[in-house]
Amino acid sequence: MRKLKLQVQISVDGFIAGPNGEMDWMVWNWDDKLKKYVSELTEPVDTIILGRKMTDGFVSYWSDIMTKPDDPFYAFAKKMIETPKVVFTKTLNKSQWANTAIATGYLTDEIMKLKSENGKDIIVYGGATFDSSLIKAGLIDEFHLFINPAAIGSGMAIFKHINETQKFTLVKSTPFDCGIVELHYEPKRT
Amino acid sequence: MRKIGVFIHVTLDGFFAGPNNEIDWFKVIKKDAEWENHTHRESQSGSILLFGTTTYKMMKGFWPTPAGIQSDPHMAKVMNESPKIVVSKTLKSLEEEPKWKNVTILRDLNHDTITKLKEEGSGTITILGSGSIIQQLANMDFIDEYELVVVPIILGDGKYLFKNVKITEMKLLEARSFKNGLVSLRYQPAR
Repeated sequence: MRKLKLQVQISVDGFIAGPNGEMDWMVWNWDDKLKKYVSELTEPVDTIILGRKMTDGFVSYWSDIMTKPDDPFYAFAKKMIETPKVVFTKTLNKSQWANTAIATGYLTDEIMKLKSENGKDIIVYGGATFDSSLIKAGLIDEFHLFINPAAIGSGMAIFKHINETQKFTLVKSTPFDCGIVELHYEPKRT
Repeated sequence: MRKIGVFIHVTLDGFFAGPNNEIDWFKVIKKDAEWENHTHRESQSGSILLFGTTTYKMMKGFWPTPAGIQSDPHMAKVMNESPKIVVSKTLKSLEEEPKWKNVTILRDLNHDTITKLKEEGSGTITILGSGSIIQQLANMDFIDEYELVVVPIILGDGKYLFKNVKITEMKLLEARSFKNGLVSLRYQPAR
């Protein structure tokens, strides 16, 4: 069974973006240890899943960086664009993006189908609504929360509309010189 | 000049309490010798403890009792003997609220009363729990250091610690994890 990893940049108070998508509070000058850490996390991934709403922004953002070989995120951008993607949508019936399939069925069914296929890890970044649905349905196997040193007061949350408590096991915490701390959890499944 | 520090537990989704101030989720925290050592070491600094009415009542109902003393004798001693300030408009005078030592009441939390409190001495004032007090002081830029203890649970609903509080830059001082799944994150707000 393949694993579904969630990787997000998140504020101390649990938001992945400001109310209007602001990301100016994030740390962008990653230290080398963090860059290496994230690339190792991404290395065993051969499928990226995305919510439909986020896909346009995701694809255009990384495509743009892929045209700049000097950008510090160039290698990561290449990985993001070249890795096959599955976009979850209820409104589209065919993919509008290269290297991308669409999934239109029930979330849990589609995810379980993906997990049972042969392959390496599956990763999800966002958006917030899509992450919330996956968390609510208990489909995430590994949480990689990169806590940025800021509290933004309000914004887009990934833990939303979750009606019951969920418990986790801490696998490890890793602080980085640039001020980010990664918290790695696995859900406690009963 | 006194410094003001915060020590508070938060859930992964950013709450310090459930929607009705529930803290039953503290039950998931397992006893852990290393964690206990950590809290003991921090509590030895001789701080003044400061809390809001809710936390005060909870603490007062526990630490001076035999159950409190038995659960952690060291911490009970610190809690019972340290100078304490409770911020409360509603609490009756302390003569009518016996059973705990070294308590003073602060009726109004504002720029002047806190400045006076800071200037009166040296050392640290530690706010324990008391999310609403933290919010007020954070918005007045009075917090010098945060220790957030991240509990490995999500509640789905509750009271946000940083509601209406915005600190876009903080310095990470230390991150430390414990075998019971807690992570202590220490930050200093950038000024």
